[in-house]
Amino acid sequence: MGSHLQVLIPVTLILGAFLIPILERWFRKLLEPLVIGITFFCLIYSCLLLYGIYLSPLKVFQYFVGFSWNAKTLLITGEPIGIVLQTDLIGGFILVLINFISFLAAIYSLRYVPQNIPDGKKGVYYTLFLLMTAGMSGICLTGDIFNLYVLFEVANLSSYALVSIDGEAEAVEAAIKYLLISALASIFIFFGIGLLYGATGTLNMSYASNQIRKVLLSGHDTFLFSYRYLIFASLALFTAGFGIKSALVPVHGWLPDAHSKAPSPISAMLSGLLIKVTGIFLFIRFYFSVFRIQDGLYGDMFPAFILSIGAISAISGSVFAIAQKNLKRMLAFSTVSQMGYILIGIGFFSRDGLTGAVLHLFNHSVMKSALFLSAGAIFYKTKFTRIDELKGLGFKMPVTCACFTIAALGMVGIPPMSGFFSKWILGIAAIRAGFLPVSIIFLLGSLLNAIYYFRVIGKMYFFNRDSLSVPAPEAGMRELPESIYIPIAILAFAVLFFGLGSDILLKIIRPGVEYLWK
Amino acid sequence: MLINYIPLVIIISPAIWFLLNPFLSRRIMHNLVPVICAANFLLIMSIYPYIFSGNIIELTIFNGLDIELKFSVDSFNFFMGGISVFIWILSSVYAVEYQKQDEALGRYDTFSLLSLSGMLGIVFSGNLFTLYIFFELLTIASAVLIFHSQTQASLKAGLLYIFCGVIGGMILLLVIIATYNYTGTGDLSLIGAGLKNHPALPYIFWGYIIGFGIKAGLFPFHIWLPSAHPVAPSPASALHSGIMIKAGAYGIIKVIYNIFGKEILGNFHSAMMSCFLILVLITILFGSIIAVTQIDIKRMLAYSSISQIGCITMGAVLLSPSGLKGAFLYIFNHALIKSNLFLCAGCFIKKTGLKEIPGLRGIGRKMPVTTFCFTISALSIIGIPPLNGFASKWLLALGALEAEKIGFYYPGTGVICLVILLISSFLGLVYYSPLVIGGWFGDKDAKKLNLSAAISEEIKDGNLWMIIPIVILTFCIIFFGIYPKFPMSMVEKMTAEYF
Amino acid sequence: MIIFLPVIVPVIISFLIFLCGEKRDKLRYIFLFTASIFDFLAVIFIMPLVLKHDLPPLILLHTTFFDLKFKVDILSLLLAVVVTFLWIVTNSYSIGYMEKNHSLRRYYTALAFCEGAVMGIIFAADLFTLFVFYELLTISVFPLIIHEETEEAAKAGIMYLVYTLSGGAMILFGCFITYALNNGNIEFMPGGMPGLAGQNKIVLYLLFILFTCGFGVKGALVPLHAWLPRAMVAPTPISALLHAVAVVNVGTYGLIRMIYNIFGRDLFLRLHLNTILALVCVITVLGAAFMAFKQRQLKKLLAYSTVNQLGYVVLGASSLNYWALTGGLVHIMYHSIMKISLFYAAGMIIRFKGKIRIPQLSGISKEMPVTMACFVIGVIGIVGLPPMAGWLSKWNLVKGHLLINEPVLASVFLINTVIEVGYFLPPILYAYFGVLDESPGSSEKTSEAPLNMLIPLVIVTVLSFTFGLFGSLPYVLSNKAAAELLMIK
Repeated sequence: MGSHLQVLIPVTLILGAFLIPILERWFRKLLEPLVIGITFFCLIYSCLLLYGIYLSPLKVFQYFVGFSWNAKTLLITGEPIGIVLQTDLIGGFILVLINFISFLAAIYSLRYVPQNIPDGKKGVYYTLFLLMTAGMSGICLTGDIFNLYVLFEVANLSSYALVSIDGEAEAVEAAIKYLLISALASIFIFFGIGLLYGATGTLNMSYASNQIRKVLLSGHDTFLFSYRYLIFASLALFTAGFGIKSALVPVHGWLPDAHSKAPSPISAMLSGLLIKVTGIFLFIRFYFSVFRIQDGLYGDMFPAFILSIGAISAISGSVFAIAQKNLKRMLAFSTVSQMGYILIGIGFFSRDGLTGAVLHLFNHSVMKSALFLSAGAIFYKTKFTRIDELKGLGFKMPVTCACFTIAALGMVGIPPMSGFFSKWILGIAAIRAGFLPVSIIFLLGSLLNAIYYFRVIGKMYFFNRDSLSVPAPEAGMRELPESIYIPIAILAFAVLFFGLGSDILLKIIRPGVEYLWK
Repeated sequence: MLINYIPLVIIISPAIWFLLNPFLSRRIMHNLVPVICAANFLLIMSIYPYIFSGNIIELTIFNGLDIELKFSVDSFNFFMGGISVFIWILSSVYAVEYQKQDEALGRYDTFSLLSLSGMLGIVFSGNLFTLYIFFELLTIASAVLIFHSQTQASLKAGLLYIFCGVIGGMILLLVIIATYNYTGTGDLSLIGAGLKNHPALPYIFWGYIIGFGIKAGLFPFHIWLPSAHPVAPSPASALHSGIMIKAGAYGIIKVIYNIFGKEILGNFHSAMMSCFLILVLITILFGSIIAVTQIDIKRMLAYSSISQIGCITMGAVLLSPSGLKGAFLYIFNHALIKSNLFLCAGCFIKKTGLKEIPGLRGIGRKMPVTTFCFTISALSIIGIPPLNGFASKWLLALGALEAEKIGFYYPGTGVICLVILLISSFLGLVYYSPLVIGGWFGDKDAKKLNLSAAISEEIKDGNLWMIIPIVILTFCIIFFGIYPKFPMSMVEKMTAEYF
Repeated sequence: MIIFLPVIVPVIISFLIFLCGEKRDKLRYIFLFTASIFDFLAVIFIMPLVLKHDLPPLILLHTTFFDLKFKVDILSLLLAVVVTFLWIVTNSYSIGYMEKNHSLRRYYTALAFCEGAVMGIIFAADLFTLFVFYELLTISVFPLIIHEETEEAAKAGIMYLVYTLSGGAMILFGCFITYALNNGNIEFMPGGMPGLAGQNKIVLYLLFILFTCGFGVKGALVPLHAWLPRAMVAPTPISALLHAVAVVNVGTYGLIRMIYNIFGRDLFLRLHLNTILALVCVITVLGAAFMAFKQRQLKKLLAYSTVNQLGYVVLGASSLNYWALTGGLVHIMYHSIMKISLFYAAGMIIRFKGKIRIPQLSGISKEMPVTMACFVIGVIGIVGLPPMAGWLSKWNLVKGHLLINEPVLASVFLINTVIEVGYFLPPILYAYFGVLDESPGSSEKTSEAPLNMLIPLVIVTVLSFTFGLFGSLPYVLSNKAAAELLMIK
């Protein structure tokens, strides 16, 4: 089965991206409504798509671009010619997440962008914004590795430009650093794809996966046996590439600069989405759909390796974050540590672990976006970036700070915020997979998180309302424009709601995870 | 039966006296205290025929727990209750005048009556649980009386008292609960042999002895007593020394004769009892010797009390019928005498402002009635016939010799007791004589009183309210010396219950 | 559903209170009382059902990873009764105390919310549910601690968070271990979780340490108690309700659940954990008692006394003996009632006379005779002298410990009583026997606090008195709860 929605979503986004320069020229006022409209429709589409996949018996939608799917033309290997869009439940789920966050970021940009980005670059900003969303959406939808790589680069290239969009020297420096390290990741991934093609002769994920299975199960004396080294090498290259994109600890250096120097809606997109879609999600996609590590054909060392990388990231990311003085930089380091958690969830290579990882991916997206957007709102209002400038801000900007607090509590993992529930599930998964001591990592991480998040919350609320170090906003002036605080409030509500409401998410994720084990 | 509730009424009525506070003026309240006590006394006396026709009043109040409040009045309990209330009446009559200028009059009255409740509760209690409740009530209420004068010395003495009291109470609680656990009951008339062969018996016994001994002021648990009794207002000192320390003696008698039983202690634990007897003898000697060195009149009386309480305990520990009789009679007599002494001392202090014995030389000429009563009491406590103190000492001496015959103790123990009793009497002569002789035959010169002549002229006997209780007590001392039939009949009856 | 209502109603009402805004006092107070009275009535309503074992557990949410499940047994009921009742009383007190204070919206929102969280903990049927509400309570108490917004309050708040969140993390890890050992079932079981019995001893000891430290933070066991006296910077109703009743009792409640429903009596005994826990309690009781001696502030003194008394409860629970457990459980109720009366009295003195330190209390008995009388009655109760309530629990505790041949532990209660007398005497002596303060502003005239504060004080004082004389409901409940926990008929 398939759905035209699978094509419609990226195409709409890309079309929108190309429409924007034209609109900027002649219909400037239509610019923002168009972007918000497009992202909103994509959100609706993706929800419908997810619902369709959820109802379908196979829990997967396939769509063949360039061919009628009724009359498939097959290659020698038996695979269809052209591009296959293959979307399973997890892909669909991440797709909804992407469009949800980007929709909110688009609303947020409405008032944020005019204030913080040079006037002439507005069109560029929105073009890149939509392109990045399109790229990420495409990654979730596709079933073809080469197609995936193209979309991967689309998303990445847009993000480089977006980081440096305000043209300040620091931002440009951060973007160049980001670009260089990311390019390295791209090279790794590209080589990996090459080796994989060499070993399997196909770039269709499901066929490649079958081929890999054949190779790995082949005996010593067969011809296919020698290919297994190619496969191992490509696995290593993918791991390195996606590891860089996920900013796991030894290779995390680009992230704090890039995420903190970007405009806040973009920081939210980068930290909440891009890093996950181009890093963690691709880990899931390749490990589970292509290499099928969950079948246990790669030995015990590999999961242990992934787990230890995850654990290192989870702890050291938090430790780095404690040392930060800049709010957004702190949030960026916090992202590093949360990526570690998710990787640990993946590293169990069990159904429960993956469930926890995907749920935490979702929760972290929502929470971190809320945090970055709140930080942006604070910047929008007061131009504060340092943590110690926030003294008493909780009394001046109650809504923003309350949302920040809710999201931060979620990051720390305090019930009933959603962050707790995904950590609980990760912990349970650790136990069910027989890695009880690993659950200490989650607790330790929580405590470290508590240290730096409560420091910020403390600055906001502990100090007497009169000790605020900045001129108070004029009386009668509203805290913030609606377009800025409504997205934050929605995200904060989501943090609260998907705590005890995580049941709803689990109903989608569990079949998706089960599908990967088929 | 209605009569069963009389003990409860007697116990509660003083305690709820302060509820009248909103309705009556402070002065009237104060003057009502003796009335309350007198009413109580009449109530107690009303059950006299019932008790002494051989009945026991028992009342159990279910507390909703596995433990219950139980009151019982047998002749010993009745005897203790009667003497307590009697002294209380006189003390409160005395206080009508003595405490007149007191700023915190209400506090004194309330806690004096609460102490009465506690005291009566102790002596009317039918089981250990009840006894303990009122024991603590007595400790707290009487501590307030010690704190009452609000001087530095009274604060210190009160703190010491409350600590000793609470420590004693806690030890008592421990052994009471242990008794409940081992025997399954705390009923004072039933415990009997439940503990007979229990290995923990010595510990429990000493627990009781320490608990009650602190209250009684036995050596070495007496430390609170010499500082606490003098700092209280004199009527309260009279109650402390005359009655409240008897709660400890009462407890010890109950422990020996009711909880453990004299046969068990005498036959199987005579070494332990000997140790206790030695302690008691040390108490007697110690109290007397230290009293000799005292200059402060009330401190001297306090040490004298230690010595006397030793005598009472000795009577009980001897485990002989005459000894027990002596102890009972001693309780009765000592209550009268020691209260009288303290009340007289209060008069001296109130009128002259002096507490030192040498300062009171020649007081007999200024305050003849008071000094006369003091002298009679002093002679009585030393044991000069025909005053009442003699009879009790005589019985104790008999008891000591009887103990020799019964043979629970090593041969010769009784004789030693007798000797120590005599030494103590002699020492009593030594420490009472300076005041008595100096009072009557001291210099006429007012300068020796360390007072200006003008004030010295004004010193005379207190007014009627202060004199009446003293005179009544003195009369009792003489009357019961010459005609001891009334107390003796009771004492015979009580002793008969134990032997 | 009736089980869940006491949990959710205060939470909903706290949102309503939040919506009331800063100004609408009357409406806010109506909501406040609605919540607390509703809870109390609901608890009273389910009481006969629970006693007849007629109330089925409520599964609110069921997933593969966690259940949200509520159950009421007699132990829960016992705590629920005291908490809900004292909440009503404290609301009244609070209104008087917080009059003309700032940020009342935040204050009352958090106060109402806390009740829901506490009820959630008490009614939780498994570790997960308990933990969720436990952390909720941690967070919702926080705004109340820092209410004064001073530097000191901020520090106390941070300290509180550090302690309780670390404790929370330990409990969470304990939950994980329990989950692993008991095959994914973390529901409280009468007689302990069966999966734990045959496990590795070291893991079980680790589990014990985790839970003891975790719950011990809130239950203020001695090395972990330091946040409690510091948290006394909070307004007095908060000190009274949360730090003498709700929060600390929740900690001890957790410990009791650990002993009887996670480990179970037999396993606990076999591993000699009762000895270890008893040792901790002895340190708690005596250590806190000695620390209380140094205190010169009335509220801090009370805080240390709380630490001290909580040791009683846990010591009673760790004895595994019917009588001592009864004593411990009944002490939860009695101590709450008595300690809250002390806090009320201290609060009135602080609020209306501005007297914080103990030496300042000179002559206060003339100014506030009723308050001080209640204070003294409360002290007698806390110290455990008859005829106040505190003594009955001590009787049972001592009795139980003597029955299991632990005279040393039994005497701890008695030694502690003596020490308690020592540290509670100074305030009373100053108040009644001290020299009247000559400084201006203190007069001999009687000037009591307003009635909406005085009446709660008198109510709890009268209760502590009547419970002492007439045993009654708390005692019956604790008897049944002890029998249920020990599984004896």
